[in-house]
Amino acid sequence: MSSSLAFHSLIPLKSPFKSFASTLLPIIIPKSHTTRRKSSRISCTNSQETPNQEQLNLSVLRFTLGIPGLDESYLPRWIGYAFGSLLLLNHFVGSSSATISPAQLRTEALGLSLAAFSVVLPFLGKFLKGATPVNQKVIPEGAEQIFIMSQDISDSIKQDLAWGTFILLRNTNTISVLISVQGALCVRGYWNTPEDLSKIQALDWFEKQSQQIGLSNLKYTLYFPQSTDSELWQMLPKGTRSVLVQPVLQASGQRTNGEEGTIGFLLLASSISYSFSTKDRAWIGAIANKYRGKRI
Amino acid sequence: MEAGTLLRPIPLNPPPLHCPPLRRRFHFFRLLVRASSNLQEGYRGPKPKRQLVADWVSKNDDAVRSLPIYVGGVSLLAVLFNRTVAGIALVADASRQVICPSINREISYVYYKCGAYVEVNSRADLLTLGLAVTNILAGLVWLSIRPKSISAVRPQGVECQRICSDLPEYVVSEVLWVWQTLSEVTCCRSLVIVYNSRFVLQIGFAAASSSNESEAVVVDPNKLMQGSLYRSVIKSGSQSYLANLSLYPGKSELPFLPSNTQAVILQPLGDKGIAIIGGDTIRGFPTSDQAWITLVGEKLDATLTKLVNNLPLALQGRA
Repeated sequence: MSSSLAFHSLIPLKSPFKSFASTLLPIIIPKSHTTRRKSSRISCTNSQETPNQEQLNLSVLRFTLGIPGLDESYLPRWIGYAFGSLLLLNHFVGSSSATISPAQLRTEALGLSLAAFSVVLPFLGKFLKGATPVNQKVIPEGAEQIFIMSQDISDSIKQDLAWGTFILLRNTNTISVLISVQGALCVRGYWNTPEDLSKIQALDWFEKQSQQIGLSNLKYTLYFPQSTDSELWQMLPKGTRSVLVQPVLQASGQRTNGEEGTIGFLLLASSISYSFSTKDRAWIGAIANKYRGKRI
Repeated sequence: MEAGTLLRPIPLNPPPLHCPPLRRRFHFFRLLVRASSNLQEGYRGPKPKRQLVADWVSKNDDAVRSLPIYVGGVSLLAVLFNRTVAGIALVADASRQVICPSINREISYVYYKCGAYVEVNSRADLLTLGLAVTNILAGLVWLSIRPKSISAVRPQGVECQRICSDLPEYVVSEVLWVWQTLSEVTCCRSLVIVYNSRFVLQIGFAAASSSNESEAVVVDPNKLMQGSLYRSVIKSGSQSYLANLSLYPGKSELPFLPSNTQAVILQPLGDKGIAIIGGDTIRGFPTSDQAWITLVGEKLDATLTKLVNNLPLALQGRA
């Protein structure tokens, strides 16, 4: 199916849209990483709740120390560790074992359980609505940034694929993206390709890897928010924490036997766990829909 | 001058984006793996685990937000109660003095022992109090960042779908894809695209025209392009977000949108066109949506530029 494939550093496109096709996309921190303000108007919450129409209200009163780069949502965790260790220190060093009273034991038990709860608190807070993602994208070490695309496809499809990969890298926390639609492949970002792979063989290698996992047979979106230890994900760079696989389903007009077929998939990987929020996944599904009606 | 209308069926909704229950999917994959030995079929990769904590927190959002406050408050009271029960003074009193010097030593030794015991306990109590206060503060912060839920306002108008008649297939599928994406993922309810002084698309809800209640107001590209909204957007070259349309006097330049449209995004398409996206919620387009819409607008601009470049010159001059 896929004949000669070649590495192209700059895909010559006739349209004025060359920016999508430039080789190495610098991994930019997406603009949607919200900036935190020290203090603004205090917001009153509305009593009515319609879960579908919630709006992130960013102008709220926040407790912040004002130190740039220090994230205050992890403060309970550090305080939990610090005070918990001080409690233990107090127990073992601060008093001789003969004079430990039951009252002190009760207090220390309470204190240690509170410390454990404080340590868990930021983890719970991550799942609340309106929580902003804390970490920035981390570029994996030792992985190279690549951008390769199948050659035996029309220019408009090439442009679509280049744009699709560009927008996914730019607007989400993705560091590696692979789009495969009806045999046409486009790979962009940081991947763990074997050393000294000839550029012509790189696409063959990706295709073989994805067929080994059987990614083109999926019917539903797969989302792994935390890192998986499967050895099948060899092609992803080290330090990948979350993976999303979005199948591209056949458009309704093209179905021949009345069943829904999968004509391709989008594979996205990120170095942050829980990196794809519900909204992100909705947009990724919409981008996948773009390739439904294409004829390669 | 008048834009032709072309009735095209709206494509069927895509299958839902949610993942089905894990059990059903696991069973399904099991069948696949068992039935096939061919490398081409079946998915052999790992299956995602159920995210219990994440699901539980998302479902009980309010309760989880106030949980640290309760935990901190209860432990605060428990610490104080513990001190009273154990007979220690609630406040460590450092000012106790022994007056008589002769028995001072023994009593002070006793006090020293009790004092040390009080000290150790007080230290532990202080640390526990500090942790309780941290939890209370964390709970207060969580309560304060609760997103305000604003309900959507149903647009007043008629639904319409008008596409310029002489557009090639790829442009039509592209603009319909843009509409489908925006209406499903964001709070967009109306979309109007004008490019190169020509009307391209009007879809979704539109204001009903005064002459015929069931027809939508026709978009006049020239009038739109002479207005200040269009000109300022084209001049700045970047997206303009009107979070609450009722506050803007420029609303009169958009008569084709439903009168109670809450939020509008004006996305310039290069320097030749504009996409007007009307939403049904005040401040309904968060920053992430705005970023996505900017990039989708650039793609639309590329497609429409290609169309314009390919058109014969005679058609381009037509207003």
